[in-house]
Amino acid sequence: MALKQAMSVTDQAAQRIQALLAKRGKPSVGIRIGVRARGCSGLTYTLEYADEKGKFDEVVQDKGVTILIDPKASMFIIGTEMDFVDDKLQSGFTFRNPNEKGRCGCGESFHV
Amino acid sequence: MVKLFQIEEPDGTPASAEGPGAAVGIDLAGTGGAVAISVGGNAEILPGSDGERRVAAVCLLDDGKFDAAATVRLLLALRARAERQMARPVTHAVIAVAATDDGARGIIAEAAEAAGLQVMRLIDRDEAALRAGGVAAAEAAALGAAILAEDAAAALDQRQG
Repeated sequence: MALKQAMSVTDQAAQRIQALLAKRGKPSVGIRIGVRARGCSGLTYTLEYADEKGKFDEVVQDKGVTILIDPKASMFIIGTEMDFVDDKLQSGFTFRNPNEKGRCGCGESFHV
Repeated sequence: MVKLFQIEEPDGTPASAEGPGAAVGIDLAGTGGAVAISVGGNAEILPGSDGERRVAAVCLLDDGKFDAAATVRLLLALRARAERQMARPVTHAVIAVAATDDGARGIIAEAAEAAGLQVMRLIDRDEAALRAGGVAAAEAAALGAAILAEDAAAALDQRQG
C-alpha cells in the first residue's frame, strides 16, 4: 500500500514542469519546494530547479515529476497540491495548501 | 492579483522568458520607477520578487539631467521584473516621465533602446495618470502607461494582422 504523499501536482503543473526541465538544459533531479519567512505575515513558498537531492529532502513522485521537499518545509506543505495557471495576464504555479489558515492582503504570504 | 510562482535557478540566475513579446507601461521618475501591464483595460503594477512595487534608483545628475547609465540600469531592472512576473519577453513599452525638455527625452529614448525596449510612446506622467483614471497617484503614471501600451499594441497587431 502506498504511503500518503506529502504533496501532489495537477496534470497541468506536471506537464509544465516537465517542459521547463527539458528546456533548462542542465541535468536536473526535479524541482525543490520549500518555505521561508517573508511578507507581511508568515511564510511563502520557494520553488527551484533541483540539481541534486539534498541529504534530508523528502522525495515525492507524482505524474512523472520528481519533487524534493525541503525538510524544514514538510510540516507546512503536507497535503498541498501544486497547479499551473496560464491566463492572458500572467502564467505560473500556485499552491493549494489545506493547512493555510489565512493569507495576507497582497497574497504574498500565508500562515498555518 | 494572486501571486504565481516561477521555478527559479538555485543560484538565483533568472530563467529565460519565452513566448510572444509583451508591451508594458513604465513610470520613470528621478527617484526610480515602476512597471505595469494592462489586459482588457485593467492595469496592474508588476512587483519584484521581494514584493516591492517600485524600484528605487537615482537617475538624475546634479544638474537635473537624466543619467544615461543609471536610466539603462533602471529600465533593465523593470524589464526583468516584468519578464519574471509574466514569464514572457517584454519588448515594447510606453514610458511616462515628468515633463522635461527634448534633451532628457532623447537620453531616455536611447536608454530604452540600450535596455532592449522599443519605445511606443514617451509621454508626460500627468497625461499617463489621467489615462489610469482616479487611482492612487503614486502608481497612476505606470498604470496609465500600461493601458496606453495595450492600446498601442492592439493598433500594431491590427496593422500587421
